[in-house]
Amino acid sequence: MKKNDNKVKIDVKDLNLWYGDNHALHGISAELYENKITALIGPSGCGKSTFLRCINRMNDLINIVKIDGQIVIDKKNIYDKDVDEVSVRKKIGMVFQQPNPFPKSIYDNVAYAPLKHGIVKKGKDCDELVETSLIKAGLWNEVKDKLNTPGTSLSGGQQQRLCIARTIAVKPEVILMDEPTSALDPISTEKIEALMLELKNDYTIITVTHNMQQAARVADYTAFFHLGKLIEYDETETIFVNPNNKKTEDYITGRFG
Amino acid sequence: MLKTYEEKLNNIKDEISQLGQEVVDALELSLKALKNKDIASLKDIDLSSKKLNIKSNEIDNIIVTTLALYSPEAKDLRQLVSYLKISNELVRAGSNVRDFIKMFRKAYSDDLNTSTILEYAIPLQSSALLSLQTTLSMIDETSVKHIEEKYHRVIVEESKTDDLYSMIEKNILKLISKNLDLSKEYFDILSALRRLEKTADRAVSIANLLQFAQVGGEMVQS
Amino acid sequence: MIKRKKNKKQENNPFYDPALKARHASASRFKKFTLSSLIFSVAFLAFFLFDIIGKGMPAFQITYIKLDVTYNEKTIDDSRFAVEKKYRTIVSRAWLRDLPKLVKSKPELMNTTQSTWVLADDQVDQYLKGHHYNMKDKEIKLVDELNTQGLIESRFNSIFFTNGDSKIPEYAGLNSAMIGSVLTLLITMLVAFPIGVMTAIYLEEFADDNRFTRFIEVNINNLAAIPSILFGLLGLAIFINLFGLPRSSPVVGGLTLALMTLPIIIVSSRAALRAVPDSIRQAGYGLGLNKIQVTKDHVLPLAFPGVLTGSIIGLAQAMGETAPLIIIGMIAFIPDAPGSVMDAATVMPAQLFTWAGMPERMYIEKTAAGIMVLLTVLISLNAIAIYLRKKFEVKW
Repeated sequence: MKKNDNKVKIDVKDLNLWYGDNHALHGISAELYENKITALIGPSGCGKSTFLRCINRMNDLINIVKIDGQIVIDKKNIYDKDVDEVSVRKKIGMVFQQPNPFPKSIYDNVAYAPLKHGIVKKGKDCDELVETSLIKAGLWNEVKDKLNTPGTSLSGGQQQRLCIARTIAVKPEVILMDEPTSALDPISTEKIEALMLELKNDYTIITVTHNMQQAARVADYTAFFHLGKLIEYDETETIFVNPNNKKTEDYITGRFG
Repeated sequence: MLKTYEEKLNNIKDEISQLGQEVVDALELSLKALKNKDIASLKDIDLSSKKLNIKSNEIDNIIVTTLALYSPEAKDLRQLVSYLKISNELVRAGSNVRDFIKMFRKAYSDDLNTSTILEYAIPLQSSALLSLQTTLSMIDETSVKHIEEKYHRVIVEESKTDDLYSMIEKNILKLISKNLDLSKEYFDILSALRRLEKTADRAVSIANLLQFAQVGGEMVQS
Repeated sequence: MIKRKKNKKQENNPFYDPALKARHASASRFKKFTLSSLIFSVAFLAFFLFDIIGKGMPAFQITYIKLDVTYNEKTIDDSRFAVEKKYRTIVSRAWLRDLPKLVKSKPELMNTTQSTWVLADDQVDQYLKGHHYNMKDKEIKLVDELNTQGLIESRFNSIFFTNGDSKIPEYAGLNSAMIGSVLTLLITMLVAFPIGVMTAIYLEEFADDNRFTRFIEVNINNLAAIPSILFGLLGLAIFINLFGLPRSSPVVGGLTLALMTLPIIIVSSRAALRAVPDSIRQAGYGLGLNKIQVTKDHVLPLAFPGVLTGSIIGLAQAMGETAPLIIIGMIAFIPDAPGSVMDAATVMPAQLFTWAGMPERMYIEKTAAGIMVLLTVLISLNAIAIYLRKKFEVKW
């Protein structure tokens, strides 16, 4: 990779993961940069989603998972014994592939977690936070008159933006996105991509996508995974114009399999 | 359309226009010099091939990156591919203009029948300049009607250069037959003037590519 | 001739497929078969309802005779003397026994002779309804005479709903059994619902998936299939013998039925919890919520309609249980409604079981009427279950 003076937000050091006996991630090491969009690409089953879920310790919820290695964020390894996984997830938010708003009103969807974390108290502060989050997610104008209607009454693209607003409301520093637009139509997809480009000014964004063109369009850096190994990690332009590794090139040009 | 993509497309368009403008500016200055009969000032015109090549390569690489990252389609794709070829055409046109300026200045002297030469060189150069200017103005043109009009004007100017060149060729050959010891200089002037005709040919090529880009159809380079 | 026709069909029609006719015929046969199965089952149900309603409807009417009743010291002392001798055998003994109470509440009747509608004996009632009766000829003639004189009337049988059980058929009612049922089932619900739902939450959300929990799960499923009478023996051994709780009380009945209903509530609650999509939990964890918050505020509200439906269906089933309650003594003769959960009581199915064994003819129609009441309650409970589920259902 070319020399750069980006600030490193997430430093992954020799990360290994086992699902029971299955060695799913092999010695992943990478420096993910602050306020950049990093895309994780690769064929199905290559470990990119597994890797993403390690960053906010969501894999801890699965019993048979064993993890070895370090992920250092803000100078602290999140897998240290004295780090509470719940607090990790407050700092590192996640948006999922299927939009999954809570079956509550739009207002409650956004306000629930901040209230529980004690970020705001009920009332004007909370109202402001909900409004700011919805504005940042590009949804405010469409829902400002119907904040008390159920979150599930929105269209797919709107629901996903609601999930993004909900994630932003707890004031994270990193946003992880697991194939955020796979379930959406092209117009909604474009809106989310434009949103990602804006959000990167305030957050560090790591996104998994099986759509290479999406990675090409929005990501500053791209990491290519294959069979649980990190094959190549570089600026997106390099990956898509001059990849260094033949496997990467085969994948990008569709010569895989 | 993603903002980053739009910015890139506009950037490429501006760079192509600028590249063309360099060539046009040089041609304008040389026309002025000829009109003022100030042939010496041709020396001051700066149109280095190195500068043009660097710029053209830059543009080409940006186009490659844009094609890789944004998968453009339809008009966007036609435009980018056209610009890729136009950058090359502009470098060649620039090379023609530079050759004209160099060769004309070298060969020109008061020993020659300057009045006849200038009588044809100036309109020849005007036509070449106009064809290049018109074709470059097609870059920002969006109306199909205006594109067709400009395209025709370029064709017209180019055929004018053809006619003017054949006329001056005839006349210069006549002058050579009268003054055999100046034949080398006269041939050099003719060679120089031929470059202007070639410049107009490049303008037509560019016009074809721009018509494909803006209007559609199949790509044809003349 | 036919061959040519077939060919013509094939020629003009690119979609002609000779095998289709046989396939369609087979499909229509299958449809007819399934429809006839449905009609078969419905026919049985219709027959049953027809029979029960036919037998039970007469129970809601009971016969009264207009006679002169004398209220004085002598008759209060021995109420047999309140009516004329010849009428004594056709009048309800139980009604006469209540005479002192009546005079006490209406002292102005003292020392008067009133023409009142007196409750008839059960044999008179059955004779007038056209059923099997057991009367002497003298009595029959007397009844016919009174009938032609218009002194016999058939009224709505409110006694059925206001009285408890009685050895005297015309005075027997469902009241104490209904109250006993309500108290018993109240106990059942108060015990089974919280324990069942909490167990389901623990097993579904908190327990690890290891051999031990799977062992527990298999056993809970098996408990749901155990013959209910065994729960009665369990109740007898633990609640009555070990804990010393009063025999035949709603508290023992309720606890026994609670043990029986627990597996059903656990299984249906687990199914309701499992039906909540995992994406909700993932979203909750992704926001940095802990397990309690995710379960209490997000999973449980969504699972609630399913949990409610399962519980009400379990309750409806418990309401109809007889065998375990018989073991713990609820078929005792209970004339008075229980005052508290510790008093001896009976439940509706047990009461019907008892009545079905009584010799008098009138008990047949009372049993059928009791079945109708029980069915109405069960159907209402199920209807409430459906209504509540629809009301709380969250639209996805």
